[in-house]
Amino acid sequence: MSRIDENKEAVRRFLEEIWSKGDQAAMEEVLAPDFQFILAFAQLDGREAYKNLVIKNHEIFADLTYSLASLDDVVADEQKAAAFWSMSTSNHRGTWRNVPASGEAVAIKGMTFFRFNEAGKMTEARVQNDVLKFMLTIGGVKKMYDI
Amino acid sequence: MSIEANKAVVRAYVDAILVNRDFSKFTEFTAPGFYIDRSAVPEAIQGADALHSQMDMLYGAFPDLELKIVDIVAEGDKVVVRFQAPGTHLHPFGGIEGTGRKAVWKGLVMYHVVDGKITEAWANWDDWGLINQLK
Repeated sequence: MSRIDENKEAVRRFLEEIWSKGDQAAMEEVLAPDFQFILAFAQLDGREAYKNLVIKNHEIFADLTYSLASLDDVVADEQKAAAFWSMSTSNHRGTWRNVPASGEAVAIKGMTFFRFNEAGKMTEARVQNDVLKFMLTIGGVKKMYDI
Repeated sequence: MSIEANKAVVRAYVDAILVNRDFSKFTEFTAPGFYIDRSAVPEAIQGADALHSQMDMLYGAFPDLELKIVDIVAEGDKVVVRFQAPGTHLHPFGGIEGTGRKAVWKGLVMYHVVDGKITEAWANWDDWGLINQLK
């Protein structure tokens, strides 16, 4: 498998095995120990910190699932990759960023930009997603725009 | 077209259309039917006029906005750009009066390039983060 295909496979596993299933063995295989997970509103340093986020988010969001419409939605070269994905949960059942459980099902889209080290391990994931839609659905923001 | 040529088309489009807003060059870089799908917004931005008014609105609110490409990755007929756009919020944006604050808008955009022209773009911009920096 070429390095490009390996990076694409790492992205697929990141979404389908790590995020959706919380697979800890996959985390060890795919992520570098110094992996950084960078959101618009927060940054986690280290694979362990990210692992805890995955566990916590599965407690808060039932059936948390990240999926690719197709592998065409992953773009990679030897050191970097980017993906366009969907995320869904059937029930927001716990407090998330100070927003209490809403019981809502939510589905949003997002994109992530990834970097890999020389050994092919993922070192960085920078995420952009529809936080605004997410917050509006779970009642985290009553009125964002004055309409 | 090679991957490097596709990247060059996207860089030139960003510079001419998004930064300099020279819409006389719009068809140099985009194919007929070009649209931008912003998944957070129900309606796609379709064509030159819609994009022009969107960009004018943005630069109207943030006159010194600096739309910068900070990372890029490409494969096949796709190019993905990571943007960072610092600017000073001087005029109303999203219903918030000018605050004089410096803010950074971040985004990821996936471009589809066919025969040297961009046919479509899927964009995810951090509206939530931007608005939070203004509050």
